[in-house]
Amino acid sequence: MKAALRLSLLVAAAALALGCGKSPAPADPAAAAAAAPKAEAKPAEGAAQPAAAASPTVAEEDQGPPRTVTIWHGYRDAERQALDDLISHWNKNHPNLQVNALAVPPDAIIDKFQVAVPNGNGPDLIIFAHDKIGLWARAGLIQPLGEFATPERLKRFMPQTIKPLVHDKAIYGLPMAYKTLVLFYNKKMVQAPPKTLGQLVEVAKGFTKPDADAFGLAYEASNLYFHAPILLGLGGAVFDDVAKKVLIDSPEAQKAVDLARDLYKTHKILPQGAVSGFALTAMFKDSKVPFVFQGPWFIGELTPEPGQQPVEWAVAMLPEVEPGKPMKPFLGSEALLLSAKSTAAKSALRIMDYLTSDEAALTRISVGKQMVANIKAYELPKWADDPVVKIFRGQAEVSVPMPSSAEMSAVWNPYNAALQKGVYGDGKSAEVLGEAQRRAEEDIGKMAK
Amino acid sequence: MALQQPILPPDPWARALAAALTAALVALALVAGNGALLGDRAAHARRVGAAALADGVAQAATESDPARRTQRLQELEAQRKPAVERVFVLTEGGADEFGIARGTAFTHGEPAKDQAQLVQDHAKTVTAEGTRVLQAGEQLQADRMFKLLDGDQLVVAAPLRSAKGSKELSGVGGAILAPMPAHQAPWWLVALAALLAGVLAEAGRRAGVRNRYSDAAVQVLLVLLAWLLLPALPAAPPAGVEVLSADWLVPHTAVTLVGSPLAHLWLLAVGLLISLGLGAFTDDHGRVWQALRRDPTPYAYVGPAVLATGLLIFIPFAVGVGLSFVDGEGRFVGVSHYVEVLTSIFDEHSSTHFFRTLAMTTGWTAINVAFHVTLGLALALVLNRPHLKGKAIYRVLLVLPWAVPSYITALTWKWLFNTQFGPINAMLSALRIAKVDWLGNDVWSNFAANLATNVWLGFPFMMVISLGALQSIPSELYEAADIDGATSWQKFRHVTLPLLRPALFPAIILGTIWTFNAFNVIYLVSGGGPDHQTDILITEAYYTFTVLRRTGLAAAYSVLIFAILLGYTVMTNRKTKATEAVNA
Repeated sequence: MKAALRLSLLVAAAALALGCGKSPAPADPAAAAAAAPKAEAKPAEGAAQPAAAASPTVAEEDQGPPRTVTIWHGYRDAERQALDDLISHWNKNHPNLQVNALAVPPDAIIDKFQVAVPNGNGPDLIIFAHDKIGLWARAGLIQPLGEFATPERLKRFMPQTIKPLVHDKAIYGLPMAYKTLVLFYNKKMVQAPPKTLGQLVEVAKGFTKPDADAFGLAYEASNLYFHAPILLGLGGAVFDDVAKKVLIDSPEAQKAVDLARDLYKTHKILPQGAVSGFALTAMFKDSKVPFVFQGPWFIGELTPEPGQQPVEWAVAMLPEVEPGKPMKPFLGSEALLLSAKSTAAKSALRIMDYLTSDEAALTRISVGKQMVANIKAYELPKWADDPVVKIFRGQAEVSVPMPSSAEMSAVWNPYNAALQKGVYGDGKSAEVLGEAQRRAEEDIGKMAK
Repeated sequence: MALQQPILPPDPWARALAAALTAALVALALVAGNGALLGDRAAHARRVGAAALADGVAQAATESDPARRTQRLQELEAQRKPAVERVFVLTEGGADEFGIARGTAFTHGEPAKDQAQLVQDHAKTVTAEGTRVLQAGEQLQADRMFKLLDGDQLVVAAPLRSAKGSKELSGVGGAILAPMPAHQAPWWLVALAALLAGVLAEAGRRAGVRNRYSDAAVQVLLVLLAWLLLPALPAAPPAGVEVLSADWLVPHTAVTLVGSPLAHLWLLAVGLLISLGLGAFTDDHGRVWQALRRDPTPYAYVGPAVLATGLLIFIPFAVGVGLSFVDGEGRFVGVSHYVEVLTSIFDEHSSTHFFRTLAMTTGWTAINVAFHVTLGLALALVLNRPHLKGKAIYRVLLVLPWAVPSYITALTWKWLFNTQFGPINAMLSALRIAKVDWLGNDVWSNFAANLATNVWLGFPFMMVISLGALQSIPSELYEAADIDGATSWQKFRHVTLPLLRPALFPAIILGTIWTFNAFNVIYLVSGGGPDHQTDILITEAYYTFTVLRRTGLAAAYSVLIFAILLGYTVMTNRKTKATEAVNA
């Protein structure tokens, strides 16, 4: 048994060494820099066409043997369309470097990636939010970009989308898009969005009619991700990525739980029990609730069913929780990450560069309706003045990156349990948060290092 | 089943074959284990030696006087043995606005390109971790300062401190080991061990073993004896491996058990398991081999099934058991995972509580199976009435919950129990009863939701089994009972129930096992909520696997679940003879 185990470890190590040997990782900045962006022609402004990356001068690497770069992503609908457009455009112009994109159902992609990569079956690139970087870097599933991530190359992105991608002084990917919660409101029911949580509550009370299943506000109050805007807005925190410290129990956090409980128990504007996903979407579309805290994915869900009256919606920045203290949602930076077992790392980096170029970003924002990370995209009047894009862009400035340490996975469950007890139950905020703090610390102590 | 009596006269060939097979396998287990441990020990000694060198390099590199620094590094270079490919110093130049390290460079002994990348990656983790430790006001632990790289070709690196008392680390000094040459236990050692084990095994058999229990005891003694004798063999570092540290010279025997005494136990356990597993082949008369030789046809028929079961069930099971003894990095940790699971009752704030969860699981299973049996049996009795109209339709409708994939059923029930919009609460409202937050903070409402779902999923199976058994009861028995003037309760109690027993008991055992491990229902309906209180053992194991990422701990859970269910099955079997033939 032991001998067999050693053998398998040796094989794994050998495979890793081999993989790395084949891909003298991104140590050639000049060649990589020369690769995609410069060769791409300028596209028409705001072009809905795939960014004209038609490179007339075939890059040097294209002369070599044919290579394939595989990308896994969890995109659907419009986002997937934009990605597919960009890839087919690339494939047409680079017969020797083909890109193969595989759409994996979003709830399966984590497991699939974690199982496939150690066996050498994974993709070269994966598109995923930054919060898994700590775990995957530690498990040796992804590798840092090294020299490829030159300051010039990073300049094209919003800084708050880059920072989350840095783990232990190394950067692990280039950002595609960012996701934050904003306030979605029903324009028919509410003329102007509230500026403060207090105003929101006053307006919301008028719409709360429990007997008719109508409420003033709906969000998943027992889920840390949706609770975070109140917590972070009050100056609280969850986890310190640098010092690896659990920061669950704090006066700010207690205040945040009390505030959420007031929404439910005192103001009674929240539905009974956690409402999420399908039910929440249905409520909003049926004008049963004027306000929801949701992210960019919600836009796609608002498409009316056949025969249904479309809901008139708009977005606004999350309100102030206290004077001068705006609600701050978690920011998720969705990035292209480089697999540690990629056998074509250099080619993969070229593709990463292409898909995150300013030109590609225009395709992604116009076709895919993505909140892209590239600064340039927002300089075009079409997007600078777009009412939805403008709000998300603004909210990104008032947000906090989601912690990305591996330890975070042991924080979510205790925190959600504390919220369940503190907001919907009879738990005192100090007690439930104290218990969650101890629980998370205990579980982190038990985690595999 | 006459175990004491040979079925056929002894067959010398079968005996010889069986003895040889045991001997070879036991010897291989012992020698392979020993070889691996010798290799481990050599690798460990190499690492210790290289680490000392790396430490020296890191200290030399912090020398402020450049001339002195060069001199000390040259001295270290001179001491370097061929097993160390190179020593190096990697200094960091600081970080940019995003915290990305910039200007990192090798100031001494730059490695080849692919290695340089790996070294840089590891150096970042070493310095980041080290800085974190220093800033937390803790001391740098020696083992924290070293980072091993892929397998045997490892980099050992010690962090540089720019100044005494500084809380920032500015790089690493280290050594790269040449790959460790492949090593194997010498063939003569294998042969000798095989011979030894064979002689002992045969001697044991001649000593007059008469039944399977004494046979097993003798096997145990033999393996113990072989293990005791093995250390008498000489041992040396594996051929071609240059040992870098005096650690190797610690007095040792052939079975060089680096690490804990548990490794001894491990080695013994493997030998014993193989030996006992082969008991069927190696008992006094080599019965299985003998039978195989006389009449191979039945074995040929079951062969493919045995092979498939082996591949799909026994090998994964064995791997699972093996995993429960090693940690995430493949190090042997003995029974510590089991100890951790079984003592979790003392961790007040832990998310996992083995005994609390075991109690919940047992209660959950008992209540569920009780519902399944009563409901299933009642419906079967109704459906079995000879003059019932539309029987076929009812039967299809009642089997339907079983036919729908369980996760779809589970998600549907979760929706039914939704607090605000669920139909169940809507019904309660219509009856002017306050809505219940089913999946909220109350343990028992969560439990009830799980229970409703699983009863719905489970009764059709019991119904189908009971119905089948009911239909096979000869009507003459009821006629005879009628003539005797039995009431319908008496008929049920004294005719129906006894004749249902042979069908119902195996179904109950099966139902218990399924319910005990009803992962889908718990995971999808209550999710273990509130706060893990409705978790059952299998969902708790899943939590340790996905959230805590402790494969070993999760494997230990699975083995314990298996042991519990095995114990339950064996016990029930003994009491009820459930799985034995009806006519026995």
